[in-house]
Amino acid sequence: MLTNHAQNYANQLLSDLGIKKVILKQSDHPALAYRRSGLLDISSQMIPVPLASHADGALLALKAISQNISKLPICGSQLLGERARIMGLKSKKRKTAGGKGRLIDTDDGCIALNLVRDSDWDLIPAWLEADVSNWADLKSIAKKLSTNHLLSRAIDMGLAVGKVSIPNKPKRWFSFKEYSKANIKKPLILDLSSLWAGPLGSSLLGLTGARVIKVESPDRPDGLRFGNRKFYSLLNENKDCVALDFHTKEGLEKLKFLMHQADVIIEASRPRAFKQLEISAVEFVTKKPGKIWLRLTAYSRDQNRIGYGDDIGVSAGLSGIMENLYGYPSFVGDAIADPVNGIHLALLIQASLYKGKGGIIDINMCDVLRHAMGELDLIKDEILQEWSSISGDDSIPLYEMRDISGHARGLGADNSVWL
Amino acid sequence: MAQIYKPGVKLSSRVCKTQIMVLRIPAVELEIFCGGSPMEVGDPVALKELQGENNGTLVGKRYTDESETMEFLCTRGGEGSISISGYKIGIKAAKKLPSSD
Repeated sequence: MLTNHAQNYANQLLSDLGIKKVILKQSDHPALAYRRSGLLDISSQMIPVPLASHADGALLALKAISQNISKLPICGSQLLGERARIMGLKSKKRKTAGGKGRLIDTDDGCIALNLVRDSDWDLIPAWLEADVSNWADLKSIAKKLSTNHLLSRAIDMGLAVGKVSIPNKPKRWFSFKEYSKANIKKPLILDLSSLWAGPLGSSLLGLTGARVIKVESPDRPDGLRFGNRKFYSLLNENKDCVALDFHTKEGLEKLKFLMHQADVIIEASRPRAFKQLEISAVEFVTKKPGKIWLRLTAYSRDQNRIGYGDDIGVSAGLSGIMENLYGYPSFVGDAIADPVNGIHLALLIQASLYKGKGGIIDINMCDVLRHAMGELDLIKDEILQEWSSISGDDSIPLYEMRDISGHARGLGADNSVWL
Repeated sequence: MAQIYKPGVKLSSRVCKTQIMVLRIPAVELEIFCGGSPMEVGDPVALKELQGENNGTLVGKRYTDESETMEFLCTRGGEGSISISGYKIGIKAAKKLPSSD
């Protein structure tokens, strides 16, 4: 069963990007894309939001403006369930698929708290002003405190939290400030981001022919290196790996040297990180015509707030929608904001290269995800019934997994080539 | 005035914009300074002059003593440095990135 959901979203994205191209390609019904991507298995429940089809649309748009598309995934929604399918993860309603995040009741609502690092637990006594070191005690104390109190303190402290609510769709899903024009044929991309969204974006661009250098700090490498090896390689194979200690004068100079050489810089650091290194994006984009600097943050830059894929999914409204439909909130997908953002990020950079425009692109994961969820006019019981029966009747196997036999390069393996 | 602090308490500098949150702290009487003046619990009051040598505080950084018996999170940076008599306070290394999200 094919629909126009993906194609309509793709055309909207291209129009937002100022590209006059029209895509005519029907794709799987959103309920089928949701099932066949693995999202239904991960979440156990249908959600009548065409998110999976919109991921298909974002990839259609990317393909429409890329030179080499043969290596790109078959469809965008294929990317959404990738990690969970490789690792056999499932979310348990109030627990993330990755297992580190939970939905927690407060005095007046519900929040997601994602303690992805064991050391995040060190912050909990200060957050709750109580001696707490396990979920049971945490829950009983949070139940007596207000959502706003818990959120504002957590945000101040750098804990990843999200409020169960349904925000409005943002007016824009990116911002772009143009600084120069140039036609770049085979771009050199410097990817300073880590985990899932940024590396997925740069890997998609790599599959279209860009050269990608992954830059890490030796004492703080990409944490995914220590997670599932196959998944890490899927996102990072075919990238050159450079390791630089930005906190030494020599390392910082080498970083700046590479940043000046690159045509595209991708970073997902907090706004203060580059400020503290005295590196200014404007200075870099004005020195090389056509240079693109993409800044990815969890929420808008002024909020100075961290987030990961699952808690951002809650902030963007997915769990609030589940609460409306089923009577209780639950997580949707596995770190869903990450893969959705990865595709949009690649599209934004490709669009700037396609148009020959250099400048600074800002996107934040919450707004992109909420945008990709679309208008919420389908959140009705009858649509839920319809989509549930469409997916229930579907017996086709899930989308074929991408090849996971590749090997990513080691930390700093290509230092001698680039430094 | 020396006092016993609890985790979660916010302290404000009296000489600059610095604000810190106590993350961990031993249950002993301490006097916490910023820029040479004792820090106040809660929101800032009228500013005094900076005293002594100061390198400032950086927002988002964690500060700790040499044997890491206490830890503070800087929630707003300023020109004053954090000091506690009897302890050497400095920046703690950044936390590792998570292996999944």
